[in-house]
Amino acid sequence: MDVHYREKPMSAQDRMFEAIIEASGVPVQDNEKAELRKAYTTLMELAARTRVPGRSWEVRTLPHYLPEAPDEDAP
Amino acid sequence: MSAFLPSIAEAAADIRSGALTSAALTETCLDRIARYDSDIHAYHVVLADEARAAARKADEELAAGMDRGPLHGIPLALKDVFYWKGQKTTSNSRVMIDFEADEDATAIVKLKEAGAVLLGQLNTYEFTFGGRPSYLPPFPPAMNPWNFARITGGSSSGSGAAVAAGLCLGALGTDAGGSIRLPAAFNGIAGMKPTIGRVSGFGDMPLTYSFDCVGPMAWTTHDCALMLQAIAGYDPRDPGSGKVPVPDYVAGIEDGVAGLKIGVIRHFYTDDFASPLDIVRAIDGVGQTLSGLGAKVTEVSVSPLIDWHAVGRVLVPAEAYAIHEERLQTQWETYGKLARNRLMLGGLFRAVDYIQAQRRRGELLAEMNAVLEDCDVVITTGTLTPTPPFDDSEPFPFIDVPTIPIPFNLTGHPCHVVRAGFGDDGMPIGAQIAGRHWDEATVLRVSHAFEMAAGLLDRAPEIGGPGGGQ
Repeated sequence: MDVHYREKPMSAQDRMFEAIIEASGVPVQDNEKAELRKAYTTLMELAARTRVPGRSWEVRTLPHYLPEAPDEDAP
Repeated sequence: MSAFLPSIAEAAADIRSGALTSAALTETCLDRIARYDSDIHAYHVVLADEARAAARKADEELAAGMDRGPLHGIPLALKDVFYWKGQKTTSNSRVMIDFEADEDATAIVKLKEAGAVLLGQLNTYEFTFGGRPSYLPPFPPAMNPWNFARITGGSSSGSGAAVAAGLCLGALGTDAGGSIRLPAAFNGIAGMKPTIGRVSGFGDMPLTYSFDCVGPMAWTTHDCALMLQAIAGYDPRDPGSGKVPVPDYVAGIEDGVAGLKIGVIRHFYTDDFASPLDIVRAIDGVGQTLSGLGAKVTEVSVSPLIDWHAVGRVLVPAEAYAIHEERLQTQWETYGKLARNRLMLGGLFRAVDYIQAQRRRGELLAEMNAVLEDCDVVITTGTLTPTPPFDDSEPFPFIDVPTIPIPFNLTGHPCHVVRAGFGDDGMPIGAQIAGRHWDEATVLRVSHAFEMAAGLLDRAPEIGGPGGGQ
């Protein structure tokens, strides 16, 4: 029987992870990269939880920045 | 009060009555450090000669009628993250092993002005980045005085261990995700993360820009109040410092809780994470004790803990990575393995991840503010699990298990840990008590009332654990 092995294609998340590590310029060793890759899946799940479907664009980021008022304008 | 040493309040009274001198108290601390710290490793550096000189000066000043306040002549110590002119500041990292600042951190300036005797620099997880301790950084990890087989918690690991073991009367820690409150809980002491901006962060090596807080750790809440009084206040050297008046934290600390409304965020440790029964009983018991003192205690609800955890796990590593990016690129091998990989996690997010998390943070802040409009303070557990075993093999334990201190880092509210009881394993259990922005005074008042009513502070560790050599 003729068996054809095909390399499993990288997922979009795999490609993103590899690209970020490479682009970071940080010399992460392969064995440590494997641990980071596992954590990356969990981190992306957590990052997804911070999105709220239908959230208004009026929901702004923290912290807010406000220039300090001149003394004469202070309440 | 700690069974090993007097409390700060007791020592301050005894020094003024002539029953005690700063020199004698300092010598007691140095003796205990010499006896126990070769096992506990709470200190990176002990400055014995400098401490003795400062104690002699304090005694001379007090004898001459110059009283700098309740910390005058009191032996304290600091986490090794504060700039200290004339000393190395390492944050327990080989990356900073030769770093010496040319000026003092504001917290050190204020403690010196208050006449405190500074005993030395205390242990920390490398670059204060949470998780479990590592044997790889330059200094060995601090051991939990209650049981050397359990972790101290961190990153203010040495601060927690030193106070619990009676190696100083109080310590400074820093907290961006629980680094004061976790070691306070695991070591059975009190620890306050003030409102963000209440205490200057100038000269505190940063982990993040939007969460870092400097705060006191001591055996009692009353002692934390005395320390906070000395270090709080506006500082133009810290752009995140608040121009907000500092109230007297001690004046109202005995006022009790009658009439106060206290919310218990119970779902954090029951529904969102199933903490063991001994922890649930201890934290529920805090509410019951305060109810017995006349407070109106009610259960309150906010978003599930995992939502708070998710925001924290994006923001804290992302900010930490930004701070360390260049050094990670050029000195990767110099960092300890645990620290560099934890920092690297923060480099894996996209900008949009960070911004979405900051938006979610705003929504969560609004929720907690709404609860605190109705309640004077809220209570929840200080830790979700029993004190973990001393084991550094798991690189990222803080990703999968939610972090219970993080909600009050995200919101910036003041949050204090008190000893709430003991677990079935004999280890201390801590409760968090949080209040409105800038209202540390009410948090301290409620915490002190609980401590006095609960009577849990007489029990001190048998150093190292049962039969551990005390």
